[in-house]
Amino acid sequence: MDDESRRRLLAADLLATAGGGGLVASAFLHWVRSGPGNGLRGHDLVDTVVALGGALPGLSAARLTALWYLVPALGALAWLSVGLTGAHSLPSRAVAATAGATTGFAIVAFVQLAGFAALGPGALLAAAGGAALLASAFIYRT
Amino acid sequence: MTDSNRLRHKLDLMAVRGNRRGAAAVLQSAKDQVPAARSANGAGIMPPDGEGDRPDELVVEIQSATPRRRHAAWSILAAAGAAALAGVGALAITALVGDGGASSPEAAVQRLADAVSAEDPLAAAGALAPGEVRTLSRTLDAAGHRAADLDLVATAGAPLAGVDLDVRDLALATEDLAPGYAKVVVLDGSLTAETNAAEMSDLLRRAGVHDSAASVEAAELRQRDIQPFLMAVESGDGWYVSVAYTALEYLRVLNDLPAPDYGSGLAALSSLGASSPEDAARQMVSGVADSDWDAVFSLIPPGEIALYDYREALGELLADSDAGATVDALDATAEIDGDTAVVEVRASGSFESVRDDGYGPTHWDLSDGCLREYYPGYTETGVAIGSDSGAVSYPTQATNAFCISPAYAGSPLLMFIGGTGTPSEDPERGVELTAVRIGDRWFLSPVSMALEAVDAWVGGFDLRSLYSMLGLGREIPPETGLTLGESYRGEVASRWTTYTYSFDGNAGQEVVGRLTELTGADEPREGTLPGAFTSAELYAPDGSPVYDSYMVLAGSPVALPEDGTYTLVVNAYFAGPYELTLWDADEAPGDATGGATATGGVATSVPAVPTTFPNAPDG
Repeated sequence: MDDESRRRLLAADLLATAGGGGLVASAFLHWVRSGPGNGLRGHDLVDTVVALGGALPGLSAARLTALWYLVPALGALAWLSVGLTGAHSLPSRAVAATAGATTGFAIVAFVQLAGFAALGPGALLAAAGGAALLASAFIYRT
Repeated sequence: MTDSNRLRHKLDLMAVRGNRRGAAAVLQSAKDQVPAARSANGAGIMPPDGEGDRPDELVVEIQSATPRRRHAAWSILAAAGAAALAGVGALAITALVGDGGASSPEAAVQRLADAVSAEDPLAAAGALAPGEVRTLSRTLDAAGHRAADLDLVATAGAPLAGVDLDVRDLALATEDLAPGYAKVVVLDGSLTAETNAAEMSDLLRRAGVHDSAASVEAAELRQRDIQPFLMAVESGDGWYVSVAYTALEYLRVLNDLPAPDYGSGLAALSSLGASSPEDAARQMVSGVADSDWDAVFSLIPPGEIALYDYREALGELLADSDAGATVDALDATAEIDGDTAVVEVRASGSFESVRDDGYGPTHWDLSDGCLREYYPGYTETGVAIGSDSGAVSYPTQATNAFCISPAYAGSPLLMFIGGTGTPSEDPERGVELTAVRIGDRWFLSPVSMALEAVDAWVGGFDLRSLYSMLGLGREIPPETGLTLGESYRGEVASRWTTYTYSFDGNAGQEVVGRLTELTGADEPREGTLPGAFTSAELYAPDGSPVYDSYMVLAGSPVALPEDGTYTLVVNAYFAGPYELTLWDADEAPGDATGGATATGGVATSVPAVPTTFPNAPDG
């Protein structure tokens, strides 16, 4: 393997690790920065923002809650996959793609319900983590 | 030449050598052509250049494109991922199954403090005992949306924008009172509040809200050596701050009353309450009339307001309070929907006591959403409210009322207390009470009733109400333009509504007016005084208030300061049809300018919040 390939491989692993860590850590930070819900997490947070922002078509509070918990869960799964098979492997890329999409959906939902300006550090970290995971899936090609 | 280029070169040579074959055939042929000679260790060797039969034979070295696995750190990462996955799963399950309360009484108070600091009303409601707040979160949410609809706040998601609250340096200590009940003493800490008008709505800034700041230290809240505290209760899924227990405990300690029997209400739940919602309502009315406070307390859900736990203390406090009422008629009908019911109660009776001035007994009834007290044939001379002097006589039946009713939507207060001559608009309608079923017993729920009243009040709140409350009545679009000397007839939609009217006036001109309630037949309503249930303000063309104009509809002419179009703001405390007339004082009829009315009294304006009986010793 040439040096460039090794560097890309290492970068993919590190990006995936950081991305997964970001998604996991987002569960411990506030997703709403100000106003109602800014002190809440999890289903309390979702219940609050849904109560304020109304319903999104096809996305009930229960589904949004599940989506919110999927974000850190996929981050943890990314760690597991990268640790076992590397960021370049098919399973890791699948996890990265799923995590990126899920995080994107969750953030879009929160923007719709609470407003973009109200997004807190949890949402921003999740966004960064999702982007890093997606990047890790593409940075190394066999 | 790099490795990759070398490889490509070899492959190019192979591609043009010999017959076209598939890759597998090429590789197999290459293997077959490797010389039989081996080194001592058995490894295959390449023939030296120039030697052997086929000097141009090539062996393609096949390597895996992916390096083999890896440093132990990646195994650790995999293990961390597995652990994190399990943790997230446990977190999700725990949160969804429900551990809504805090882990300790102190944590519950801290959670409330954090919500206050975050200006998060919904999180604050979540820190309170669920049984006491019921649907408070929904009420807060509705209020936030309504405020946003009326441009009182910018967004429903930030109802306290421009208000910055901060609870700092809390030092707490817990005193366990009974299993599941604790007193959390605030040893130290501070609460600061700041308003930033620039972050508030334009409406609030026009109403005069400005930057301000205030703070209070825990030490300042000490009363009679009693450290400030909050009560916490354990609700099975964690600890919550209890507003009801906090209020009752403050009442007890400040009055040196006996300790409560914590949890006795919940323990005796199956024997408290009533067998039906109608019975609960009847027992409540009878209990209050007879001053049977234990019976009254037993009809309130113990998990909502723990009056039953504090029955000994409250009984001692109320020992000298005897309603002295009789119940002459009592009727209750309920509409049940699952575990809740709306009970309409109609009742009437009398108060046996006689006042110090010798007047009594009086009558009472529950009608049209209010408890009303009547003074039949009440006439007395004395100083009228709002006037300097003079003999007055009052309608034949004065009324005092205590109401919590959505009928007062838009009023500055949710309830209406006191007042003279507030007859019931619908005497056949009773008072609606909310009952809840717990187990197989029915209780009356004051929290539900209060929240329903607040919900109805919020729902009925409109711009007119808001502008009136904020003192911006002059900005309400006029009902009509008035012509001096010509009467205007209109209708007040609901009590405590503000209307505006415009008219043209000249500098130095004096104006006076009269507003008369009418019956459905357009006749003056008997028993009411012109202008008795209104207050008025005049605003000059430049928007400034005209000095001392509040009596303009009560017989006191007001001099206009300049030429132009004036705004008359009228706050009507009655509902129904009316007739309004403004005159040039020189052309007004005699009874419109401070003279006696046909009933022999002086037309007066009732203060904005009438709270006293007419001719009461302090009135």
